[in-house]
Amino acid sequence: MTVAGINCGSTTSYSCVFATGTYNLVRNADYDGRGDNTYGSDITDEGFAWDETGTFDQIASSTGSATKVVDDEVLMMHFASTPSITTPFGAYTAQADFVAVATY
Amino acid sequence: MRKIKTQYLLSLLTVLIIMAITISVSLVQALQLTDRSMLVSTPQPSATATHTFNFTYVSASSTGSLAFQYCTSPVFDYPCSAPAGVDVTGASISSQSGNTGFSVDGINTTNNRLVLTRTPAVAATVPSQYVIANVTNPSTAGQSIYVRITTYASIDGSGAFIDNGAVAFATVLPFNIGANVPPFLQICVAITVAPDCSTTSGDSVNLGTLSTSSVRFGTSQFSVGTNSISGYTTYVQGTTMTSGNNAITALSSQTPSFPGNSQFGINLRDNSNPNVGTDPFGSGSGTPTANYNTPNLFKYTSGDSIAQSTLPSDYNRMTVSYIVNVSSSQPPGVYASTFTYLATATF
Repeated sequence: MTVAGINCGSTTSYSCVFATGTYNLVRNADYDGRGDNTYGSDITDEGFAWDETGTFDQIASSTGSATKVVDDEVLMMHFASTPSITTPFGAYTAQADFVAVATY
Repeated sequence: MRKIKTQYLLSLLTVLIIMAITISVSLVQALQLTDRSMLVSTPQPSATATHTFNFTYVSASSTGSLAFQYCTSPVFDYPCSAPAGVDVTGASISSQSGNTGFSVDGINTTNNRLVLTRTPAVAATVPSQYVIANVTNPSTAGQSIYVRITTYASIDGSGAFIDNGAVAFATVLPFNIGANVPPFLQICVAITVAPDCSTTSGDSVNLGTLSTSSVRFGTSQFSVGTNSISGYTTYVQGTTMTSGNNAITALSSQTPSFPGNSQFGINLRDNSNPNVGTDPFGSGSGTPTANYNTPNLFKYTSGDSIAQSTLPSDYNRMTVSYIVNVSSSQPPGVYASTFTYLATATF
C-alpha cells in the first residue's frame, strides 16, 4: 500500500494544494507514493509497504505541520501485489483497519 | 437612623459573602485534563477491543476514582447518550502508568461508564496512561464516539468531578483487499534464456560439418516454473536428424559419444566428453529425468519426459546438449530436425 497523493477536498479553513506541498496531512516516508507531490499514475515508480505485525503503522500525520488541524484532506491509497511463480493459485484477501488518533 | 445603618451593613455583608462564595466556587472550578488522546486496538463495530487512554492530570488534588463515559456528544453540559452496543462491564485494566493504583469498580461501572477506583491519593500532575481491555465497541459503523473522562475525589465516581476532558474515536468497518492468483506454468525455449524467462535469444543450432572422427555438439536452453502443487513434467518431441530419407540413428538408451558411429542424443548435464552443457540452474525443485541426468551419457527418444518436479517449483533453467556422430557410411546431405519442448502441470 502507498498513499499516492493527498486530495484536497472542500478545504476552506486553510490553503490546501497538493502539487505545491501546502497541505497538513503529511505522509510517512514508507507510504509517500512517488516521494514527491505528484500523483503516482504508474505503480512502478511508487514505493509500497505493508505492515502485518498486527500493530498500527503510522501512514500520515499532521502533528509535524505548522497548522495541525485537518480539513477534508483525502489520502489517495494505492494497493499492489505480485505473486511469485510458486504462489499457490486461488483467491487471496487482506484486511486492514484504519484509525485516527487526535490529541486534545 | 441607627436601624437603617444596621440594615445597610447587613446588606453589604451579604453582598460580600455572596462574592466570597462566588470567588471560592471559581477557585475550585474543574480544569481540563491536557494532552488527551485515545487509541483503539480495532475500530470495528462490536469488536472486543483494547482502549488506551492518555492524558495529563492538571489538579494536584486527592483523587479516588476515574470515570470513562462513552457518549454520542463530548459536551459535558449535555446529557450523555450512550452509543448503541458499547459495553465496558467486562473491561479490565491491562496496564496503567503515571497516576496508578486503580482497579475496576465493578459496582458502579455501567454499560457505557467505566469507573476505576483506588485509595484516594493526591494526583501527580504527570502524563498518565490507562490501557483498558475487553471493551465491546459500539455496534454502529461510521459513528464518532466520545469518551468523557472525569476525575473524582470519591472512590466511586460520584460527586463533583475534579478535572475533565473528552476524547474521540470512530467505528470503522475493516477494509478488505482481494486478488486472485491464477494457475502458473511458464516455459521458455531458446538458444539462451534468462532463468526467469524474462529474455530469450535464438531458435536454431548449427552443428557445422559432421565428421567421422570427432563429435559435433551444440546446446539450447529452456526454463520452467509452476505453482501447481504437483509440479510439472517437460517433454521433448521431434524426429532424429534427417536428410530426406536418410537419418542419423537416435540413441535409444543412455550411451557415451563414440565418433565414427551414427549417433544422435541429448542430455541435461555438464559433460566432459564432449565438453558441452551445463548443470541445471535455479532455486526450483525441477531436475532432469533419469535418462537424461548422467553426464557423458546421451539418449534421445521422441516424446520422452526430460525434466520434472513433483512440487511447485521456482524457475529452473536446463541446458540441453545435443551430440551427433556419423559413420563413414552416412549418406551426405544436410541433416536437420525440429524439436518441440512441452511442459504440463496438473492444477
